[in-house]
Amino acid sequence: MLHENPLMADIDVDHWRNLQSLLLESAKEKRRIIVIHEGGKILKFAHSAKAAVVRPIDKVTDVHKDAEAIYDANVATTDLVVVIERGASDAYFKAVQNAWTPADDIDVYVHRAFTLMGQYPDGIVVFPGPASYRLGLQWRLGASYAEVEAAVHAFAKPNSSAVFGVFEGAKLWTTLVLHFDAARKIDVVTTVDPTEIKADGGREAVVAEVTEWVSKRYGTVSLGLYSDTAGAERFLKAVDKVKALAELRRTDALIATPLPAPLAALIKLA
Amino acid sequence: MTSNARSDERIVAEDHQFRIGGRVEELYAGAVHYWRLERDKWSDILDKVRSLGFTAISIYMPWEVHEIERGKFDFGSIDPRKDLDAFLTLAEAKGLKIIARPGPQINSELTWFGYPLRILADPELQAQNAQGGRTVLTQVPRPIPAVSYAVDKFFDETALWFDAIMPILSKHQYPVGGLISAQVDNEMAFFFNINAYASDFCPASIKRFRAFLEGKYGSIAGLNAVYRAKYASFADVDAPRSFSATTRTDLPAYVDWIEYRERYLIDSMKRLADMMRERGLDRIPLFHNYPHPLGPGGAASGITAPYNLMGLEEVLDFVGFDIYSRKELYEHVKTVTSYVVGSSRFPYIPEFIAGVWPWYLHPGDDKDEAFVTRAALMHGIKGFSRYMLVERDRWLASPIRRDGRVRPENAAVFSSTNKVLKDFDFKSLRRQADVLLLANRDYDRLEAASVLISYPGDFLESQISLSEYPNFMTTSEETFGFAEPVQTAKNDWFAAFYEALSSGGQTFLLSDTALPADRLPRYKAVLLSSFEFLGATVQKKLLDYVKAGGTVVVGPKLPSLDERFAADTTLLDAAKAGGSSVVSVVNREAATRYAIGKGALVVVQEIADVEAVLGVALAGAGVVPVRKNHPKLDVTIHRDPAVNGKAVVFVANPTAQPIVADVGIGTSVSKVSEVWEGKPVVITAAGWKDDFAPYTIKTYIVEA
Repeated sequence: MLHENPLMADIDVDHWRNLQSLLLESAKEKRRIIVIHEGGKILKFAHSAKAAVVRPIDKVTDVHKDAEAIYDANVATTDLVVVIERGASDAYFKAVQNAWTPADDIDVYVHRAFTLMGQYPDGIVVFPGPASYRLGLQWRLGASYAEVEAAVHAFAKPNSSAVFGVFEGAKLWTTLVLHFDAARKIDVVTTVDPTEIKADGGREAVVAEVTEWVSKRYGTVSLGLYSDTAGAERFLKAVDKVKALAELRRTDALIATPLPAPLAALIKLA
Repeated sequence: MTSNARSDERIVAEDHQFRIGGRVEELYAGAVHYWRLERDKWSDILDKVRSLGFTAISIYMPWEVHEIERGKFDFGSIDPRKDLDAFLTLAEAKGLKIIARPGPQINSELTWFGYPLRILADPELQAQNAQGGRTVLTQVPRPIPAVSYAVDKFFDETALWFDAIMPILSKHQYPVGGLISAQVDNEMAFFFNINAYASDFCPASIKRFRAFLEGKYGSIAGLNAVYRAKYASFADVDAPRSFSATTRTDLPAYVDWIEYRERYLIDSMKRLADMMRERGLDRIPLFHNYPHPLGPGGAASGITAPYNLMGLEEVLDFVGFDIYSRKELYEHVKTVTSYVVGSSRFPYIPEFIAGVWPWYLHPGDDKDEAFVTRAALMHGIKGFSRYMLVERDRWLASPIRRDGRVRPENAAVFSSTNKVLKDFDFKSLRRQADVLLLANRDYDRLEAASVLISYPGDFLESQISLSEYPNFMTTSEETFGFAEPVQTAKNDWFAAFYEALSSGGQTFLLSDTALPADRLPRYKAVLLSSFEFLGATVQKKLLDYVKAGGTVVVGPKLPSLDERFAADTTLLDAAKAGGSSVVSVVNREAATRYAIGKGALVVVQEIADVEAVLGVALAGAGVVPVRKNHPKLDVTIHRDPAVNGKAVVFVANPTAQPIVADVGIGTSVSKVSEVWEGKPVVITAAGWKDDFAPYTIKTYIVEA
C-alpha cells in the first residue's frame, strides 16, 4: 500500500503523537514474562519489570498449556507470557529475512513477518495469544491487513486525498492525511497543520476548511471522516466498520464529507 | 591524525576542546539537508540558522540522491537543489562553519539508507546472519539488507562516490573554506543488528575473523591452548553461530567473536577514513557517531560492545554517541554523555535531538528538548549538532520548517541555549569529576556473547518485542563455574555503584576498562565490578594507579584469573602483600581496605553495602561530595581553570515531582545567579535554595 518514496513532511507533532496513541499498540510496553527454552529445557525465565515471578513449571512440555499456567500464576503482575524455543526462533527469523525483496514496502514486509510467525505455532507462543496478534508494534485498526487493503481498493480514489480527524471539543485532536497515487499507492502521509486552520465556528466549519486546505496542498479530497475520541475508538474496535459508521452517523458523532458513493451507499443500507 | 596544515591553521580535537589555529572554537551546529529544500529557500533558511546562534551547519551528502547511474552523478547540473558546491559556498558566505557527512551510509530516513539501490540489491555486498541468510533491517518505507563492510567490492564501489564528492569537499576545507570537520560513514552498528549472531557472517567477514584470531593468538597452537581445541589451522575455525557455552573453557571462542565485531567496526571506519584522507580531506578532524544506545533504564550496557569508542579514537580524531531522548529518560542521557565525556578526546553529540523521525514512538516536545539539552551540557558535552535544525521529508518538529517558517517554542530552546553557552564561555569550562566508574569491557563482551536468541535490527519493534541490546531478558543464566552469572551480575554491581554515586552527591564520570592507564590519575577514585576474572591489562593498570596514590573500589571480589581464565593474581598478590583493615558499617564488616603503595584497594563483598562503603572509602580518598537535601537531585560542577573563585553549577530535578532544593558545593558562597531564568536565588550559610518544578535543570554562577 505504501509507495516506495512516500512524502512524510510538515507533520504536526501533537497530532502525530495522539495518532500513535490511538492506533498503535506495543508489546514492548507491556509487562511480560519471557521464557526461552531449548527443546523444553528452560534457559531463561524473566519478568520485563524484574518483578518476582512464580514458576509453575520446571520445563516446557506442553507449550500452550505451560504459557497459560505461567500467566495464571502471575496474572497480577503480567500482561503477556512469551515462550520462545531457540531453534524455532532462529528458523523463523531466517525465513523472515530470506523472504525479503527490494520491492517490499514496510507494511508488506511486516505483515508477511507476522504471517510467517503462524508457521511456528509451538516455537513462538504468547498467552493470551495469538503471538502474531500480540507481539511487536501492532496497528489497532480492528481490521486485518487484507481488509484494509480491500477498503483502500474499494473506497480510495486514485490521485486523491483522504482525511481522518478526531475532535476534542471543537478542536482537532489528531488528523491523518493520505494521498493515493494513480495506482492507489500511498505517496503522502502527514497531518493537517493546525496553525493554518483558523475556523472557529464549530466542527463543520473546521472540516470545511480542512477539506479545502488539504485539497489545495495535496490534491482533491475524496474521503473525509471525522469523529470524537469516543467515536474513533468505537470505530476502531468494531468488526463491522460500515455498521459502526452508520451508528456514529445516527448519533451525530460522525462528519463524513466528502464520501465516495460506494461507501455512502453502504452506510445508508447499514 | 590531521596533517598538511600550518600550525596557525591546524584544527585539533583534543583535551575536550575543538581548536582552530590554537583558538578554542564553539562547535554548536545544526543539520540542514540542502537537497530536500527548495533552492530559493536556502539563503533565508541559513540566515535563520545563524539567527538562532548556531556557529556551524552539519550536512549529509546522499550518494543515493546524487548518483544517476554507476559512476555518474548530478551535483546540480540537472537538479539545482543538488548543487552541493553552491550550498557550501552560500553557508560560508553566511559565516557558518561546515561539518560534512558524506557517508557512504547516511540513513537520514532515505528509502535506501543513503546507498543507491544497486548496492543493497547486490548479493555480493550483503551481510549474512548466523544461518547464512541475508540480514534485513526493518525500516521505513522499505526494509533493507545490511551491507557487509568486510567485502572489498563495497569499498571499490564507495571509491566511485568518494572520487566524485571529495574534490568538492576538499576545496572547501579550512582555511580556504569553512569545512572544519567530517564524519566517516554513519551510526555503523551492523545496521542495528546489534545482536551478536545477527551479523556479519558472510565469507569475507569470516576470513577477517580468522585473520583477527591469528593476530591475537599468533599461532593455531596459541588459539588451541586457550580454546582447549585441536584445530589444524585457522581456516578450520568458524565463528560461533549461537551461544551454547556451559563452562568457562568454552567462553573465549564466543568472547573473541564479540571482540572481533568491535574491530570490524573500527577497521572499516579506518578504511573509509583513509579513503577520505587520500582524496584530499586531510586537513580536518574526522569523526564517527555511534547510534544512541537506548537500553533499558539508564543503559548499563549499550555503551560498550559492539562499540569501542577508545579503540575507534585510535584511528579517528573523535567519536560521539547520538542522543534522541526525552525528559523521562534522564538517566539514559546522563549515562551516555558521562561516558562520552569520560572517554572521548572531544565530547561531541553528532546528532542531538531537534525533532524526530515519524516512526519514533511517543515524540516529546520543546520542553523535552530543553531538558535533554541541559542534561547533556551539565554532564560535560562540549559540542553538538542539532538534528534536524531544519525540517524536511520524514522529519517533524524541528525549529525551522522547510518553508523557512520558525516554530517559536522550539526555536527558543536553541537560541537561548546557544546564547547562554556563548555568554558564559562554556567552551572554556572543565567538568569537575573526582570519581570514575568503569564499565568492564570483558564482562560486557561476555554479556553480548551470551544472548540466547538472535534477531535482526528493527526501527519499529522487533517481532518478538525484545531489545537488540543484550540484557537480563535475553542472556544466559549459566554461571560457567563462577559463583554467579557474571554477565548479569555485573549490571547489578554497575547499577549499585552508579546509584550510590548519584544519590551520595559524588561528582563522577563513566568510561570502560579500555581507558588508557595515563588517564586514570585524573580521578581520586576508580570504581568497577570485579569477579573471579579480570583482564590482565586491567589488573596491571589498576595496580599501578593504586600504587601511585589512587583509590580503587571493587566488588564483589578480587580476581584470580585473567580474561582468558588463566591464573592472574596481580591484584590479589598486591593486596596480600600490603596491610589490610576492615571497613565497618553499622558495626558490621562490609569491606576490606588494602593499603598498596601510596593508595588503597577496597573490596566490597555485598551489593547491599556499596552505598555505605563508598561513603567511607571516598572520604578516605579525599573526595568531597556536593551537598544536597534530596537523593534524586543531581549536581555537577564546572570551572574555568583561568578563573578563580567561580563555578558553574548545574542542578537537576529529573523526577516527576517538585523539589525544594537546598544544595552546596563545599565552599562558602557570596553570590549565586541563575543563568536561564535570571530569577533571584536564596543564599544560605552552606549554599543556596531554589524551587524545582518536575523535570527542571537550572544553572548557577556561584562565586565564592
